[in-house]
Amino acid sequence: MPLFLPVEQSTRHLRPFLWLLMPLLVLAVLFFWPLSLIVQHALSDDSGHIGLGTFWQVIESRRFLGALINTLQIACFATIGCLLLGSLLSLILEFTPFPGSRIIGRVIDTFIAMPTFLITLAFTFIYGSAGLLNGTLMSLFDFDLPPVDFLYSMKGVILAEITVFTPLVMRPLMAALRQIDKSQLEAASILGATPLKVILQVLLPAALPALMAGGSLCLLLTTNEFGIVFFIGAKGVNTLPMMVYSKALLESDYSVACMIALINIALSLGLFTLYRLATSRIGTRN
Amino acid sequence: MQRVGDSLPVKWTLIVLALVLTALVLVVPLIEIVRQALAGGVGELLDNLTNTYTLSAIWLTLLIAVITVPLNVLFGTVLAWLVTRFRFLGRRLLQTLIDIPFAVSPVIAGLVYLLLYGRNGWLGQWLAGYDIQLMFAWPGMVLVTLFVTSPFVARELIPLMQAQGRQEEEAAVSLGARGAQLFYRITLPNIRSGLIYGAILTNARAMGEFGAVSVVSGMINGVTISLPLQVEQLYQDYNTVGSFVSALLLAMLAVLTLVIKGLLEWLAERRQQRHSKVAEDV
Repeated sequence: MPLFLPVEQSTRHLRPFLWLLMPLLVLAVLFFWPLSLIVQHALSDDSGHIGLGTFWQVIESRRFLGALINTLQIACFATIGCLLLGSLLSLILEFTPFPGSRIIGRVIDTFIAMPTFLITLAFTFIYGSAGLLNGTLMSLFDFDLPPVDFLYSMKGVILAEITVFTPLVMRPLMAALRQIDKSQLEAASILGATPLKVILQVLLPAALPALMAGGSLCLLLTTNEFGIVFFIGAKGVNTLPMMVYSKALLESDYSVACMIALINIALSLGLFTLYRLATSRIGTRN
Repeated sequence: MQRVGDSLPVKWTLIVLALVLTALVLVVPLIEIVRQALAGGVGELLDNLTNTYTLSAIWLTLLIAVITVPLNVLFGTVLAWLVTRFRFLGRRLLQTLIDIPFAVSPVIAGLVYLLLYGRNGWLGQWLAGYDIQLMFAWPGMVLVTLFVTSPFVARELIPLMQAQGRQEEEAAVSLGARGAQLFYRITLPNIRSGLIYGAILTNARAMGEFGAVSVVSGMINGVTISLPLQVEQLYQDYNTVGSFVSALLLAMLAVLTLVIKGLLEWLAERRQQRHSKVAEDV
């Protein structure tokens, strides 16, 4: 039961609303008005009629369906990858301290401060067909074709996104793991719980809010990522943001671009809601 | 008693795994950036560093970050404060709305602003009457960056402030603290780590934003090309060294922000120590 102080009681009615006005104004001018324009452009055709013509045109196109499926796959697999890799690395760094584990923590902090596409750029020079890895392997083993050939595909994009977004999962997760009372873990193992059981029944519930926050951020960012896909330059990997870019800037087809943009926004909000529902269900079960 | 990672083989497998993963995906790419930037020797590196286009790109990137970070830190702090410290109608809705810019692809954010402020947009036409051009100029790039990076700070602060609750602040209010005093003495020290981390994330994204900025930049050489755009432009022109020099610059700017972060934390800690010492002496 929260305790309300008289001081706050008297100002409660007025001050919050004054303060509320500023962010709401910012939100309205910067977000909602512009977004309503997208809707308007998406629904009107060349002659200015309002209708669903563009919608059906987009839905029936093969290229759009491919991009939709690609976007979904990349978002889901990259998020799962980030969560798995992030959990593994965080558990190791927090619970099996070794000389140098602090340095790894520092490196990860540095990584968070780096612009995302830098790593992707470096990736193309390391794992690309003319990159460091393939060059070394080809000169060592006399391959005719580059043996490591995953970068310019969906796998490459997913891998690059996992690399870039994993630190975003690790940071809150490590903070949450640090808060856990170590004696709880010892109590669990004295009572005969296996390490796996300790992880699932003691660590997971405590770390769940952090995992949820990190995961939802990853899901949103991977659904909408543009720079990484663009920089890898995978010809076959067309995603919704890529398609918006090419429709709007290369073909100047604004109504189709806006329609795809609208579907993209709906998709990421839908995924986000699903994710929230799923995690809150796990949360209540525990 | 058996703890996770108590048996030596398991422990070392895990450690080696962590080291190898970090090296492969984090350290090697960074080294590669430096190596590529130095591929043509120090002379070429300096040439690329000091040409007018690079200098203007550095300037533009810094300008975007310097405007975006403080504004979004302020915006995020106010939002987080509102959402966690007051109960009002639409509070949960506001909490969801904060994430909207993340649910919108940067490209779409750019497109939105292009439609609104561009030559054919409503606001664009009106502003053109006053000879103000936002799109294909730096103000437009700042605007989209503001949009794209707006949720980072609030997202960091909200869980933190929720976890801390309001007892300390209520205690301060009951002891007669004023608004500003309350903020600087109680709230700020409590949320400092989250605030700094949020600012770091905002800054990283602001300096490194590519998608949104590329839509509204118009790619005018030496005028609206920020460092990320320059990296891409030079890369497409097969000027690998130039491209990696710009990439290296971005990486070094990121390291610089970390140094500033460390400095801020150190200063704050020292001040806190001094305060507690004064308290002890009294």
